[in-house]
Amino acid sequence: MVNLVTSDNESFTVEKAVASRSVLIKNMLEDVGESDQPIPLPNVTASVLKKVLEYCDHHKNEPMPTSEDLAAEDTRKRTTDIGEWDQKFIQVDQEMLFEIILAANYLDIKPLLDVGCKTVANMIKGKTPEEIRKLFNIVNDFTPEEEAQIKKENEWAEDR
Amino acid sequence: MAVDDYSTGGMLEGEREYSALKKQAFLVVQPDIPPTSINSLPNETLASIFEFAAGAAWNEFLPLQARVELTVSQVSRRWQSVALSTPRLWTRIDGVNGHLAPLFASRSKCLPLDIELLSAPLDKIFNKRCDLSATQHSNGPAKRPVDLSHTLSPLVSHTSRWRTLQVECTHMSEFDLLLAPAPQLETLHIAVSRPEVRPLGAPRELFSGQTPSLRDLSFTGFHPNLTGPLFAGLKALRLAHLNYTADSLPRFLLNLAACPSLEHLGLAHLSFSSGARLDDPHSIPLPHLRSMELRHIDESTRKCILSSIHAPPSLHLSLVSHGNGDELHHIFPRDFDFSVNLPNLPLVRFLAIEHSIRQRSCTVSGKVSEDATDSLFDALFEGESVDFMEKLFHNVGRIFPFRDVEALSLQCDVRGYECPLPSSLAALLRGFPSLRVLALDSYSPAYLDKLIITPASCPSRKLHTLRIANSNVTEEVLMELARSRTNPESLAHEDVVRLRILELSGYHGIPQDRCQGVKRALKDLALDVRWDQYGMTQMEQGSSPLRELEPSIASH
Repeated sequence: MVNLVTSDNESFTVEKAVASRSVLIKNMLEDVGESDQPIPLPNVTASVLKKVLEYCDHHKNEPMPTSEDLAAEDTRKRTTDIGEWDQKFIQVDQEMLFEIILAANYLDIKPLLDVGCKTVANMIKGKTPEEIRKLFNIVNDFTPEEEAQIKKENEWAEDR
Repeated sequence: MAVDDYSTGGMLEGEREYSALKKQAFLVVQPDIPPTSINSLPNETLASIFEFAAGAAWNEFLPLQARVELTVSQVSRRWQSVALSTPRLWTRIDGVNGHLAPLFASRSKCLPLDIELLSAPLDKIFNKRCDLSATQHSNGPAKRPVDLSHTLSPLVSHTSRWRTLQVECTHMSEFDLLLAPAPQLETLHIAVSRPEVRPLGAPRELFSGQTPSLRDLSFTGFHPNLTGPLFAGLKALRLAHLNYTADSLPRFLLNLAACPSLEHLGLAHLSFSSGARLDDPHSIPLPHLRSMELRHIDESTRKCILSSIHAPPSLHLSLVSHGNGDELHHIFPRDFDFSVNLPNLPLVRFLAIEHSIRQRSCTVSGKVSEDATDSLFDALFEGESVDFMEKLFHNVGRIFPFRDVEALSLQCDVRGYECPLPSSLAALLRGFPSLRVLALDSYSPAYLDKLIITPASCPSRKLHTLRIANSNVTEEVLMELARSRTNPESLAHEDVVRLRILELSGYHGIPQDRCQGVKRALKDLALDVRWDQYGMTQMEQGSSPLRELEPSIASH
C-alpha cells in the first residue's frame, strides 16, 4: 500500500498498482524503494485526488501506455472519442474538470490528461470565438485594432 | 476498490522522511495555486486541447470559419499565441482551406504535411465503374472540386515534408508538381478523373523515384510506371481503372513481390489486355496480406494474380464479377491449389448466399463459423440475365472449395419467386456434402420439397437443423419433409442423420387453427420445434417481413 498526502493534509492509503498509474508516483516509489514513507502531493487537493484515484482504480489493470504510444501523437490526437466509463467519470463541473486536468498533468497520468483534453476539445466543437469566451469566461483582450485586423484576415474564410 | 474505501487519516508521522522527500527535485511546492479555470491550464495543455479538436474527424466537416484552428486563434491573445505556436494545428490542407496553403505551410513549421484534395471519398472513386468524372461530390462541405495547380503550387517547395498526398488530377501539367523527392511521403492517392488526361505512363518518374517511406499507394485512372520504385515496401496497394499491355503483367507481379509486407491489395477494373498469361508461374508469398479485393478484373489477369500470390489463411478475399454466369467457371485457374494460394477458402464452414431478384445479383459470404465476426470471403456476382442465378446455384459448390461447409443460409429478396428453379437448390446442396444446418428465408414450398428424402433422392444427408423463414410452406409439405427426415426406416436405409431441430418463423401457408395440431404432430416426431409465427426476429432485425411478389417481376 502507498500513503499519499494532499495539499490540504489529507492522507489516502491506496494499492501500489493504483498509485502507480501516476508516472510521478511510480518513479518516486522506484527511487525510494520499499518504504512506509508518505508521499506528499502538494499540488493536489483531497477532493481532486479522490476523483483521480477513482480513475486510477478503474484502470489499474490496463497496460500502461508505452513510450511508442505516447510518441505517436499524430495518431493519438486523431480522435476525441472517449470510452463509456470515462465519459461518465468526467461529467463534472468546469472547475473540477480543469482541476482533474491539472492534477493529471502534475501526476503524469497521460490517459487521464487525454480524457480531460478531449472533453474540453469536444466542448469547443463548432463554437464561434465569442461562444468559446462565454463558455469558459475568457476575456476578449484584443485591442480594437487587433480585432479589426482579425476581421480583415477572416474575410477569406467567408462562404467557405 | 471503491474510492470511498480509501482510508484517510490525519497529519503525517515521520517528519524527517517527509522533509527528505520534499527535497527531491521533482517535488516543487507551489504555494499559490491560481483559481481553477481554463486560464489555469499551462500552454502545452491548452495546445494539446487544440490538437485534439483540430485532429478530430468532425473538424474536417466544418466550414472554414468554424474550424478549430481558426476559431481558437480569435478567442484571446493567449489562445492566439498558443495556436500560432502549435504547428500540428496547421498540418492538414484540404479542399476547404486549400486557398490558405501558404499560411498553413508556414505555421506548420517543419512538421509533415497531410494534403487531401480529393473531391470525393477514395472508396467512391475506387469503386466507381466507368465514368469517374461523374463521381458525385456528396461528402459534405469538406469536399469540393479543387484547383489542384493553384493549391499545390505553393506547397511544392515543401515536398520533402509531404506525408499524405491525395489528389485528383485533371490536367497533364499537374504531374509536374509531383517530381521532387518526397522522403516522408507515407500515403499517396492519385485519381485521374478525365480519360483524356490519363497518360499511358507517368510522364516522368514521380517524386524522382524517392519515396522511401511510402506505405499506402492508390492509383485510379493513372498508370504508374511499373518499373518504378514506388511499390517497394508498401503495406496497402490499390489500382483501379487501368489498362496495361499484356507484357506488363510480369513487371506488375515483380512489384508485388517487392512488397512482402503488403496487408491490403485492391484491384478494380484492371486489365493487362486479353490473353495475358505467364510463361513461368510466379511465387509471391504475402504472409501479412489481410485483405484482397478483386473487382471486375479480366479473367486472364485475375487467374495470373491468383495463381501467383500465396496468401495466409486469415486473408479476407473479396470478389466482384459481372456476366451471364458462364464466367463463374473461370474465376480460378484450372487445377488451382487453394491450400497454397488461398488457404482461407477451405476453412469456410458457414456460408451465406443472398440473391436479389430485383438487382439480378447474388452475394456469397463465408466465415469460419456462424458466430465469427470476420468473414474469410465475400463475393458479389452481378448477372446480365436472370438465368445466371441458375448457373450460380449449380456451380458454387463446384468452383469453390466448400465441401466442408457445415452451415448454409439462403435468402432471397422476393418471397415466393421461384428463381432459380427449385431443382437448382438440389444442385446447390450437392456441392455441400458436409451440411448440417440449413436456413431458407423467403423460399416457396417447392424448394422445401427438394429436401424430402425419397428412395430416389437423399439430399443433405448430414442435415440436423433446418430453419425456414418467411415461407408459405403448407402443412402437407412440412409434415412430409419432417417425416422423411425423421423416419427410422429411411434413415437406416440411407445412413442419413436424423433431423433434430426445426425452426419456423414468419410462416404463412398453415391456417391459424391448424398451427397447434401441426406443432404437436412435429413434436411427436421427436423434433425440437421452434415456432415463431410472426417472424418477429426477422422483423426486428430489419429485413422485410412482408415482401410480396412485385407485378413487374411476376410478369418477367
